[in-house]
This record gives sequence, structure tokens and C-alpha cells, in this order.
Amino acid sequence: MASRISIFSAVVAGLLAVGPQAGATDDLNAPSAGAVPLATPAPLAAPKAPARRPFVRAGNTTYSTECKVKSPAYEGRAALRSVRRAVLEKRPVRVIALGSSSTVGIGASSPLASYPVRLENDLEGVIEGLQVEMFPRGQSGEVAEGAAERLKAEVAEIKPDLIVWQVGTNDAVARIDADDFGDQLRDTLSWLASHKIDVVLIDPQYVERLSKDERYTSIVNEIATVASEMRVLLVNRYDAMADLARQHPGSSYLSNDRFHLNDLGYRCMAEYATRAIVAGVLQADIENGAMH
Amino acid sequence: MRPPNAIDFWRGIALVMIFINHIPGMDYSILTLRNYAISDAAELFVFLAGCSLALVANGKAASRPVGQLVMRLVMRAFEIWQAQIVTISVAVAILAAGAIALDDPLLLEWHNAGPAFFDTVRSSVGMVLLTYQIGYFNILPLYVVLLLLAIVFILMARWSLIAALAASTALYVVTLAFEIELPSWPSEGAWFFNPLSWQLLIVLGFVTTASKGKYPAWRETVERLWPLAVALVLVGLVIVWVDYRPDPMLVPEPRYFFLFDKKYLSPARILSMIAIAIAFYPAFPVLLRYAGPVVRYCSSLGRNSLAVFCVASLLALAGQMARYVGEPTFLLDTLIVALGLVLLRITAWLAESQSSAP
Repeated sequence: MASRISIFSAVVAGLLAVGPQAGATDDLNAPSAGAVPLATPAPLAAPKAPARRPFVRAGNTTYSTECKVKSPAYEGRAALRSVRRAVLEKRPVRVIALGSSSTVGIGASSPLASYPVRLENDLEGVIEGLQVEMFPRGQSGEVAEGAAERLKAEVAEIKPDLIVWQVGTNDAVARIDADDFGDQLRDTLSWLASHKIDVVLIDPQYVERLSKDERYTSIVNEIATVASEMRVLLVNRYDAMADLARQHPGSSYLSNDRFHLNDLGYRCMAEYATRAIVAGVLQADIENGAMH
Repeated sequence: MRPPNAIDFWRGIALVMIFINHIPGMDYSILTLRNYAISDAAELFVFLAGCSLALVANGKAASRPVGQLVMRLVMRAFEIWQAQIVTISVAVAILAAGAIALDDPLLLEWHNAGPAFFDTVRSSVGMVLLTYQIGYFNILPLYVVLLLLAIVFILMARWSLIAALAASTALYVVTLAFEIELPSWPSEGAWFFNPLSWQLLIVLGFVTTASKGKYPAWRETVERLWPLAVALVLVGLVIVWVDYRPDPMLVPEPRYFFLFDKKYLSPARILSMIAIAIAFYPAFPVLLRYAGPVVRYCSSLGRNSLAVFCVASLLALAGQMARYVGEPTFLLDTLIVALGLVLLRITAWLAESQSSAP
């Protein structure tokens, strides 16, 4: 997918400048103020950076044109330590893609079906030596309370390094109170953290009809609050899809019906999630370096 | 039409609870079993299905040739399979109609319905094979497999009830120990309810009811166990109220023996169900005497459980849609529950009038 460079280069090139607070395009390759393209050798030999060997080698990630958004595609600077450990131990990273409604198989025709496959390919393409073992798991309409129990059992069975969790849609649709939902989410995230399982959350889809629906948006906001509190990476699918809807008001895939926006949301979601995961692994590398 | 009996009554209660539980977020869910016990209405429904099977297999059918009994159970399983195909198809259509009417793509992925719309080729096959299930429409596939498995155990029970129970328990233990499950397809994962473990509950229902007529000491044994059962029910109540659940990462292997897992029906859930059955066994005559209309209402639902279950599942989905579209208030929830209960009674009446028609 992209050229690979060392984490060391990434660090000295000002990794954090291309994090969630990056320039308007939120694109690692976009030459924006303060950001140095990662693909180029780092011109700044950071004098104060601790000298150490590079651990994880990551390439740059690029959004496809149609997925570029103005708002940050993800939030947070959480370190994905378990994923990093798996990469360094040269074993496959076990990933549960939860809530994907996904079906098995490469070559599945719909974006919804191929989202975990795309995520797997993107991750393997961008982090050197990374192999992903993907476990897509749908959520059968259970709200967070019931889903938490099922998730814990799945986690105990699969023993993943990472969960990429599309959270909140069922609760938003079932009109669960945002505070109750938030408490349940906090509990589950604490449990996952206690077992050293990395998490990337993905918030619900943007649906124009519900853009002014307070109950729906309160769930979206609650996820952001909890993610920030618990220091968990969050893919801002809702904002990104809203951006896409605004950016392409007249384009064919949006004007006919809103269902196609949904498809696009899935395609782009894999890109945003890849980006967040790479940043999380790099963050783990930085923190590890700081300890050396 | 048979007069109200305990099995029909409690089955009716289970159906009402399933209807309410299938509309998540409603205040009325506080009235359902899962808030007071480790097990919930699904266990009650399956256990009572086993009790009901005992009446079928040990009644007039007991003197009939084995072939006739097997054919009857196979045809019943076929009937339930048909019911599943119809209800899941209607459910998918409801979601599609809602998505079109509201211009809302979210509905197309609700309850894991995504594959029905985005991977139609494979999900059409999976629907017929019962390997593709959507949320809240996953009990009937379990029931189909349970009935087919029950044939083996019922035939064994003609020879020895203990042998049937032992074989069923052995299958349960192996299933939990080796985590054997039925895969779902085209979605990855497994069945929401694992029939290979849930079969023990239907066999327990069968064996306990069949024992009633076979062993004179049965009633005395139940009476002796009653205080213990009540104590276990109370312990379950406390466990639920303090919200204790074993941590699946910390329990020893094989872990499903030590969890409260619903998919595998962990032993704690079975114990809870048996304790409830014994603790509430004496309640029916009292309820019949003092709450006649309620007993008659629930029994009518229980007598026509398949038709009522299918309609309840679809009404619950309609109720969820109503809460999604409208502002969920206590008044709306009350309306949904009240209307649902009336429509379920009408369904039972229609099913009964059809079966008694010449």
C-alpha cells in the first residue's frame, strides 16, 4: 500500500503533528503546516529524542480521495501495547471486529461485507511484519448490557490483542438512556483494560434523519466522552460521514438515496480505523522508547 | 380446547416475558424473569417445551409404534422450521419497509440483518439452513434442532428415563468441555443459542414430567426439595441484584461450566431454572383459584405457543420500530405492551378457532 519507514523516522518527523489534531485534510501525506511527510527521511534530527533502535516499522497511510474529511477521523492518543507486542513477537495480531454485521469471505461484494477484510489488508500493508487474524462478529441487536456479557465470553474464547468495536448503534436505535449506556461502556472498557486488550471504538453512523435527534446524538456524544475518559482511540465515523454528506451533496452516490452513503461510510471506516490503529501502535512504540 | 393447566399457564407467562424482553429499553422489562434470576424466559420456554413433549410422548402416543411417534415429532420440527422461515422473512421485510419509508439505512443493519440485504445470495441459503439468524429471531432455529435431537432421547426414554438423561448430560458435558458449537453462516460466529447444550434443558423438562406418572415418590421428592429450591431461588435473586457475574478470563477451564453463559447454557442457568420450577410448582392451583382471568389468559397463549411466539416476535419488532420513530415514553411503552397483549390473545383465539374448525 505505502512505502515503509521506521518508527524512528516517524517519531523524529513529528509524529504527533499528524495525529488527530493534524491539518484540515487529516491526511498523513498531506503537506500541512507543521507536518512533515512521513515518507520522506526526517530532516529534523531531534536532538532530545532518546537514541534507540526502531521497534515497529510502519508505513504511511493515505486516505482515498472520497474518504478525505475535514474533521479528524479519529480521536485520542492511546497506545495499543498489545498490538505492538504481537508485532514484535512476530505472531499474528488477533483482532475482533465487533458489530460489523460482516459476512465471511474475501470477494464479498458489498462494502459492509468486506470491511473487516479491507481493514485486515490495510493493516498488513502498512505495518511491517504485521499479520492479522481477523474475527468479525456481528451484534444481534442486543443493547450494551447484554452485549457486554457476550463480548466478554468471545474475548475469553478468542483472546484477542485488539477489538475494533462499532459501538452504540443498537443502543441508540433502542433509545437506551445515554447515561446508562455510558456506564455500561465504561464497565466493559475497564474490564478489557484490566485484561490488557487494546480497543478502538467506532461511533454510530451518521443518518441525516437523525442528525437533530437528541437521543441519537447523545449516544454519539457519550461515546466520545467515555473514550476520552478511558483513554481509548475513537474513530469519528459519525462526524466523518456527516462531512462526506456535506462535501458531496450533488454526487450520484449520495443524491439518489442515503443508503449509498452508508456503503461509503463502511469503505472509509476501514481507512480511518487503520489510521487510528497505526497511530496507536506508534504511540505504544514512543512510550516504550521513553521507558528505555 | 383443553382447560388451563400449569404447563400452558407458565408457557404463556414465558411468552409474555419474551415479548417484553424483545423490546429493549422498556421500563416494563423490570417485570421479567431475568431481573430476578440467573436464567430467563428463554430457559422457561424450553424447559416447558420438554414438559409438553412428555405429555405428547407418554399419552396416547406411548402405545403407538415408534415410527408414528418419530414422524409426529419430525412433522412438528418441520412446522417450526416453516414458522421460522415465515417470521424471519416478515421481519426482514419490516426492516426494509422501515428503511424505505424513513429513508434510514440504519434499519438495514439492525439486528444483524445486514447480510439479508448486502449478501442476499448466501444469506438466502443460510436462512433456509437456519444458519443465518437475526437478533431476537433465534429461538425457533434452536427449537427445530432441539426437537430433532429430542427424538433420540425420547426413544431412549421408552427404554429407560435414566439412560436418556445420562446420554443428554453426556452430550452437554462434551459440548461445554470442548466448546463445540454450531457455526452461523454467512455471518461468522456461532448460533446465539447452542442446541447441543440447550438440549439438556428440554430433556430435563421431559424427564421430570415423565417421572411424575412413572414414579409414585415423585411428588414427595419435589416436596422435600422445595425448601432447597426456594433457597436457591433466593440466592439467585441476590446474585442478580448485586450484579455478580463470573469473569470469563478468570474462571478455570473449561470455563463455560463456571460462567452464567446463555449461549452454552451454563450449569448455573440450568440449576436456576430447575429451582424456579420446583419453587413455583405449588403456585398454579393457588393462582387458578385467586387469579382465574390471568391464568385463563396466559393458558390460552401457552396452548397456542407457536403461533403466539411468531406474532409476539413480529409485534416486538414493530414495538421497537415505534420506539425508534416516536419519542419513547412510559405512555408509549404502556400502549405497546397493552396492544401487544390484546393482539397475542387474538392470535391465540384465531389459532384455536382454526384448529377446532371442521
